[in-house]
Amino acid sequence: MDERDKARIDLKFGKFTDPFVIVMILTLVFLSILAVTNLTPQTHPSRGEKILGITEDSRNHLELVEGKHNYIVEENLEQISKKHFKYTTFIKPNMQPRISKPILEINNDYKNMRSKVFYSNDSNFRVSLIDIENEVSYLMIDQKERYTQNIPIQDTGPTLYLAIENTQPVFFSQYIEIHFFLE
Amino acid sequence: MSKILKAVLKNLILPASLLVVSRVVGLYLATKIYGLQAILDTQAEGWFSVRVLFLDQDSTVLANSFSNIFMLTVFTLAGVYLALKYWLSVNLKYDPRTLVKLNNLNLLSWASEKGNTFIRVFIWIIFIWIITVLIISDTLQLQSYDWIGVMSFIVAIILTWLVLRCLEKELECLSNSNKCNIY
Repeated sequence: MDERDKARIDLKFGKFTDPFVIVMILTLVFLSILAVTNLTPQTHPSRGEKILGITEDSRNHLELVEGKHNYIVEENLEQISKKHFKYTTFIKPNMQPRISKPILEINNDYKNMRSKVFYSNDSNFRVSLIDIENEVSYLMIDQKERYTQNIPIQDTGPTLYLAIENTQPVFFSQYIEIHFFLE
Repeated sequence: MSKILKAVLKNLILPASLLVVSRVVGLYLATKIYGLQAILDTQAEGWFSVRVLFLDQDSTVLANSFSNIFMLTVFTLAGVYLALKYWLSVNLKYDPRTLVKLNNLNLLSWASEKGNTFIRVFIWIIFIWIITVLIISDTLQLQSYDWIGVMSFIVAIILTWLVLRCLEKELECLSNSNKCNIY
């Protein structure tokens, strides 16, 4: 097809393409604005809320171990109800294949504890809880494989460890929210 | 297809994509320079499934302000560069002194490059106004520092004045001959 044919086709049908081009232009502008608006940073909704110890319940069944860790930071434990606790933490960007830290002290008032990952912003890591007997309970293998694990408290001992296994290098902080239900 | 629509579409792709890229790079640099903890939430609901979250309000405002300044700087530099280039290319045709000066500075081929058109400058200025509106909207919502909102408005006004000067030259040129580079 030579230039003359192209010009003839353009002259004949070109005017019909104009509305589509206008739509394309508007879509391009609209999408870029929407993307930028959507990338406007926001404050994490779960932070700055009630922290365990401020509650009316004088006896704490779960307590944060705290302490410094290179990658597991900003730990927070919140009591949702009498037997329901929410643990949140941030995992800093790292190249480590596996990191772990003691996170919770459990008082043996209850026999069993159910735990579940309620939310995580990344899907490329595995989350597990480890008791002092080195018994591993996987809570999340990837985003689609989440498990509610029953952890017998009497056998577990007082301290529970959190372990994170990264399947790929991490460039942004990861956020994890684990809920614990005492039974 | 209409010539002007074709020109608009062709010149729109770069600023539209640069808008998103500069926002992302600005946020990345803010987290690196100020050591902020950012998490990439991949399960957000709405138009896009990704959002950037920070731990506290101060970090959010700092990161947002930094990325706003970064976006504004990138587009201001590009806008000034293109406006200046276009201004010189128009003057080149009618003012022999400009021709001699550019030749002495070895910038003749740079100023007379193909694609040095008014529509390109105009589109970049439109994007600077889009950024200004976004920044002012952030400022009004207390998500960005006040002075950035004021600065962006002043920059947009100055650049618009530059574009109007270009348009004036273009119209003057249109009335004199048919050598203009509108598209």
